[in-house]
Amino acid sequence: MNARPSSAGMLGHQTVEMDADRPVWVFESVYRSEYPGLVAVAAALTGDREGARDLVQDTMVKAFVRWNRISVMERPGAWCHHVLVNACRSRLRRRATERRFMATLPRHEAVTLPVSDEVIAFWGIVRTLPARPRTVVALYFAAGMTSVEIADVLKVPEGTVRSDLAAARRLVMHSLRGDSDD
Amino acid sequence: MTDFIDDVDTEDWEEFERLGRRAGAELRTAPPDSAIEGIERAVRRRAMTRVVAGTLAVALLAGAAFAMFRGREGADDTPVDQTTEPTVPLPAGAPGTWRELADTDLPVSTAFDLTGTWTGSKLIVLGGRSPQGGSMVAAAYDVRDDAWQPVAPPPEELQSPFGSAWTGSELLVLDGRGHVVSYDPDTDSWRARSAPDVDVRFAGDVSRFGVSESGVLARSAGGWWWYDEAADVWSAVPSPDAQFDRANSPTAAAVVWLEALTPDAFVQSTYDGPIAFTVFDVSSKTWTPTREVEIPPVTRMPPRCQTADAHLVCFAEGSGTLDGVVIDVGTAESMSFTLGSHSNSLSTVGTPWFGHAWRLLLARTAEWEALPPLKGVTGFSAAVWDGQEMLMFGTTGDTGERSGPFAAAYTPVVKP
Repeated sequence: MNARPSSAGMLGHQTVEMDADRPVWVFESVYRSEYPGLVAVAAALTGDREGARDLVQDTMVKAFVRWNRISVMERPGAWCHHVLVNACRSRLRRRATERRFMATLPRHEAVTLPVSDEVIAFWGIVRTLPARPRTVVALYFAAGMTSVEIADVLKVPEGTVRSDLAAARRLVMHSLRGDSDD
Repeated sequence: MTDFIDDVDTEDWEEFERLGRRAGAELRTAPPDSAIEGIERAVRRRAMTRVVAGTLAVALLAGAAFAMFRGREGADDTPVDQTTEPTVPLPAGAPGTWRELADTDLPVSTAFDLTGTWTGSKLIVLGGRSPQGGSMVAAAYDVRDDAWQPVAPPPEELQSPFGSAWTGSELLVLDGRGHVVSYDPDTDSWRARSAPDVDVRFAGDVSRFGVSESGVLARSAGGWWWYDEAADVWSAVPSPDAQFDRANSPTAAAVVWLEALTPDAFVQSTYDGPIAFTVFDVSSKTWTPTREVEIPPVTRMPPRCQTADAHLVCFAEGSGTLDGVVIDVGTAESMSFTLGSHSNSLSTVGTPWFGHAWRLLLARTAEWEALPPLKGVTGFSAAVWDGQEMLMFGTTGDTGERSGPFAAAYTPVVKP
């Protein structure tokens, strides 16, 4: 899922000074490889695919201006996902504030591009989960991360990720089946 | 990926996996080519903003030339705002009114050296340790959400007093023991910056260092040092002239003040009879020749000096009065003032204003504005300017009407 470290420049005309013993990531290759997963995670967490692209662009601008530092990280994608997840939380908080105080605002409804009803229902239920399990599920399915990678992004123990995923699975499947018990 | 299934309902897991994989796949989209060009445009816009700010700062430092041709009005056309431009549409109240902000449970009532920094969308409050000990505290107020957000605890080694500035992406903090750290709100994490090679101790004296978005200028017994924020490197820089060396000596009566004037310039000032000041230019690493401004006699000297919108405001408390002088650093023009009361504190360091006793002085135009009272509020110890409002953070007195930390925004009638 990650781009390979390379000594090439980033964004064509811009180059990265580098130490021969220390490979650096190329911005464009990281951008292209991480973009689909980032957009999917943002869309899953916010329910807004158009807004998800904006959040990912903002995240990648932040990454670009810090690229000297991020390019030498082991996994730049983890940094991008960490920042994106924080941005999604802010977006949801802001939306909650808008709904509280500005009832006249048009509502942002979920998923604007064609996706199946089953998928809409799945993410609709996921978004009812508490914040951390919701994020874990999004990173697991939308970004295709392993539990170890998710633990790295969220800065929590791997066991917590596993436990969140198990709890999320129970809740999501029960909701999809219409079960009334837990 | 299901190697960590922790219960026996395998069928459920498989269905969950199938659904989840499909749900993830349907949301994935490749980046359009225009998207990566958008990154370049956005970064170029940010760079251009910095260049324009730097150019304006240089223009203001050459303010004498403007004044010769156009008088003070010439300088008025070249505003230099040290504060970070807002990156989002922000709310604002009616001019001349207060707007109360969301409550915070930040434990600042006993904290000292509280500072506020504006990031373009958030006010980050950082508080020093009290003499009784304890840890620094930090919190962030998001203007768009009208909500306080927790901030990861600052590093334990950080001690008061300290200086801070917003670099464009991080909160840069230097304390009096030479610790440099930065906080990234996007990742809610702190990181240590490189330490100076020499034994740079600023002796717990906040006047011995200044912090701007470009870096840190600091003096120690061993000389002067510049910390380049972008390169994360310390280097020795020349000392200013002998007048400040005298004032720096332990036996000198005068106090020296050092503060960021603009992102790329620092001003050092001292009272040596008149107010003397010299400006350090970051790009050339040189000091301007020292200039002096005669000030009216006040009851107690030396005064304290702080910067506001590329001006120096030097002030000292007398018997029931606050006497001071506003100095245009570019032209060395000055204007003295006397205030009748100084019972309430109003810290506005880093904003275009000088604030005291519920009054704001817009340094660039020398206009005063009286603030309407806020019941139960005794003063504000941190303030930032978001481009429309002064966001202020402080504590309330033991009046029974309010208690604990308090935040409010004031929309000035006078615009910078």
